[in-house]
Amino acid sequence: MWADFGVAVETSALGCELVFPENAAPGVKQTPVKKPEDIENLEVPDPKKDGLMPLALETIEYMKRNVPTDLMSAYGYLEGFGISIGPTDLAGLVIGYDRFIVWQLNYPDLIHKAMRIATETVISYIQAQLETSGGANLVIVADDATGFLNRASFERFSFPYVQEVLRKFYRRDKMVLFHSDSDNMAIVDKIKEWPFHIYNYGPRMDAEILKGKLAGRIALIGGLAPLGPLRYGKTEEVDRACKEAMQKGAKGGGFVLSTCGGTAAGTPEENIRTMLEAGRRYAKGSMRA
Amino acid sequence: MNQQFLEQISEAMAMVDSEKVKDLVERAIQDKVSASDIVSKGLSKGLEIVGQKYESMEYFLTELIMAGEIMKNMANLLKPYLEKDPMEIMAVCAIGTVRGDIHYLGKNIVITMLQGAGFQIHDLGVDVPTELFVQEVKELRPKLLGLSAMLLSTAPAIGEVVDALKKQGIRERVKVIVGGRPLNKDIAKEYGADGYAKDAVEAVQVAKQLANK
Repeated sequence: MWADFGVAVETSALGCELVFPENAAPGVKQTPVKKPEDIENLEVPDPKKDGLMPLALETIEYMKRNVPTDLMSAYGYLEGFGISIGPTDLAGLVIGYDRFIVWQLNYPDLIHKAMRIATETVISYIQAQLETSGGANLVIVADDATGFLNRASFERFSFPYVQEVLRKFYRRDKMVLFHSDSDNMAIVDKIKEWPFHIYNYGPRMDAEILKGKLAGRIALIGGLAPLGPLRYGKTEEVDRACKEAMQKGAKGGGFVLSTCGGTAAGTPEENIRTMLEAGRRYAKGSMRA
Repeated sequence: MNQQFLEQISEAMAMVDSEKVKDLVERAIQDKVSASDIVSKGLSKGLEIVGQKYESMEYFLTELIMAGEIMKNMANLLKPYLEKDPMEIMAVCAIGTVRGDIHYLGKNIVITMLQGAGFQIHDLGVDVPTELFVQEVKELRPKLLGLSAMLLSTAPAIGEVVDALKKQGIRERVKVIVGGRPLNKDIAKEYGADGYAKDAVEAVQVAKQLANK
């Protein structure tokens, strides 16, 4: 349970103009970076002052004051919780993904500068949330753009920065979840080097192969495409998809059946219930297999 | 010599080597190689290989976007020569992201790939009102209309565009091709589209099929 602002908070704090569509998450309408030298003007924001960060922090305070304690303890998250988009996504959104990629070749130093600012922004925003919510029980970093880059670009412009963010919040006895629902199969061996506990992977990735590559070090959460049977199928199709996901991912444990990314708007309630029931039903058999 | 130049340009493009492509294109111009051949038999062939490598997961969005940038730069370089030696156009395609949706990246990559394949593109931008799509079909008379929707909440706007074309009696004038994260073949069909493409590479194949119908 948390207030989800999508990409709005971090991008607004770095000067992006937002759009709030009806029935959809907010998006970036205008970026403050039109030409390479505009990157020089970017500054790490103050979470207490800049963009929507103060509103997001205020919302956490409000929820902590007003959410009934039984719900809070049942669903968690409000105690010691922080979430942010990752530095790759943040830089991509603030610069524009196409320019972000083209300028990696033409203006590598400026892209590194943007990644540095994005990294410090992500860290300071998560820290501010943890201070507000009291503790560091769960940190989520969502960086879809890692899968947009080829291996060389990823290693140079994304890997060290995401690593820095995850290192900052990694504690053996706490939980750090990395979300990236693009296809990261080509860089899984590098992702494995990052310090985190749970990987919410993309719908195009095969959980069985993924588990083999992660060698039991990182747990998986996912298995169902948000826009697959769960959203559009009948309950029996959802059940079948869950069974298949469990067979692939749950062997040996370390697997949470869920959507690869957020649950899509309009997903039928009966399909979600089917997923929960199927998860319980297939858990033991799959884990023993 | 011409053929050798064109093959080298194609190879450099397939390697997404911007410096080499530029150097070879400049030398090809000096050697009086036809500008339309440079595009269709050199750059476009290379871009096609980039697309194939993307399909086989050897390449990533990085290479598709970089290749698009090279195409854009080379199109500018070749512009004065192409005015004298124009390329054969496969078909005219108007394309835009539907009302309420500001996602541009997928649409722009599709545009690059279609231009590379010889389509003449009219980019209507993002958050395009249904009426503008209709007006474009009426006035521009494109063979293809490309609609991009990246959100579940904006995908129904595809159906609205198709319905509006029907109401105006111009639905049969144009083939509608759609793409975007919340779509698949079945959903595209439900909205009344003629074709669906899962990515920019497939968009070229589907566009070619529809343009030839």
